[in-house]
Amino acid sequence: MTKSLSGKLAVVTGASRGIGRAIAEQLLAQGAEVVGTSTKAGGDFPKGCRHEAVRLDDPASVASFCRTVETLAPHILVNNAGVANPQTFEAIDDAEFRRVHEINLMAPMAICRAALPGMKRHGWGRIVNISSIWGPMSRVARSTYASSKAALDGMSGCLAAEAAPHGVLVNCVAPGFTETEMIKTIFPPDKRAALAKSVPMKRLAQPEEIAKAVVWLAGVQNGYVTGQNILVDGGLSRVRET
Amino acid sequence: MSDKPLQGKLAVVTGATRGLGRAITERFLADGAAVIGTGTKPDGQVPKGCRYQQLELSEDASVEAMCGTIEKEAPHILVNNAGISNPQGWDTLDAKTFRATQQIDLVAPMMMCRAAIPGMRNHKWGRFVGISALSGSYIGRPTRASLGAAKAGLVAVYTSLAAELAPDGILANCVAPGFIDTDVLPQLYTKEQIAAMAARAPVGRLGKPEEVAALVAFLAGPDNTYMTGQQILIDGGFTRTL
Repeated sequence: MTKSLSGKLAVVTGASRGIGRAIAEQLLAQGAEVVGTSTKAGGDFPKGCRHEAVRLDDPASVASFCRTVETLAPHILVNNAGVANPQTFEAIDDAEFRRVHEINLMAPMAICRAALPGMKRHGWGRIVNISSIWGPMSRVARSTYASSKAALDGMSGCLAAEAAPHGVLVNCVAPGFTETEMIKTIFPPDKRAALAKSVPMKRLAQPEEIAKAVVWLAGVQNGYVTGQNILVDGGLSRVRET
Repeated sequence: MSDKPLQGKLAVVTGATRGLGRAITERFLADGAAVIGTGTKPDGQVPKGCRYQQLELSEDASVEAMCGTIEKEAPHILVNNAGISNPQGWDTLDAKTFRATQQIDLVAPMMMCRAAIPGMRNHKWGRFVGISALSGSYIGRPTRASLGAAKAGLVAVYTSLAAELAPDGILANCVAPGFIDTDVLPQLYTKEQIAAMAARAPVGRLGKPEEVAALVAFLAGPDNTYMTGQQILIDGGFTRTL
């Protein structure tokens, strides 16, 4: 097959591990040039992936990266990097709430804003923001994370409306429980086994499975899906077994 | 990505002689699948290379014969695409038409899904894709009581399939198309209405049947391994934006 993304430039945040790394790999495999980011310089990026160090919790670092994005004028932007730090409602720490929102919402907003003019010039663009099932669904101690991700989806819906006339499609992908470092940090191994049982498919997702949906939405096969939040969750959100 | 991602797979597509079903059939064939397509006429014209079976969804005997074919041929993929909208305002809505719509859009698809399960279990692989509608789970539209009820019901049938079959690796999803540029559209709407629909979607145009087919092919193909029980809107942003 001719590589469907030859000649396309993609920016993927958080591309050194987990879902972001899988997205970068698949975009590269389809012929795109990829610029990935990670917090520290010299992370473990896929072969052939260009990279930049960006601290999404640092507005100056984000602003500097946005200038890079403006210059790069990517065709594809995937805002994947994010943080989760469960805290029960009464224990919400204002500074931590702001930090999570800075990383999960403010930085993606700024990067989308920086990428939009280039996409308009190309007359073609695809933005995929990684949201979360914590938005459509909920769970104890997710108010900080869920509010940032639900806001990201709300922002994406509006961006879809504004960008559509320019051939720019904007969607979110909400991953279910996925085998990443994030989930390993939050859930110990026995809890992860219980999580897998709670999923109708009886297993966690591999990062590559989430990436397939992201790359479809970000690619040339997607011509008419925009403003959506696509759940890739093994049936979790829509199914209860009892 | 393989050149022929559906090589070795058999698909059944209802309503394969025109519109979306025809585009889905063409896409499946191009992706390497064998396809059995249906139409209401004895000598319906399906794309080259597609087997044909006459199917009248309103007649139990015809649906049962199709179920027999499905049981015998054991398709890996079933796309319930054929349907009828039977628009009627509430002042003329009659129970007979309402029932007839449920038979075609909901009961017959349920029977065909049921017939396909044993074969998919044998294959340890299966993909159900139902073509739903914006009217129903998402929005109310004038005159769409019969269609909306049937399509919301179809989504519920598919969600239930997802719940029961997820442990076997069989995935079930629906695709809800917005206004798509098929030969059906001019039969239902005036030129002015069609132009207004195209302008109403943020992308500023109707969807193409091939664009819907590309989404169906993703959901029905090997790249989808973790998405089930979902309904994906492909509507150019129409439903979510005002």
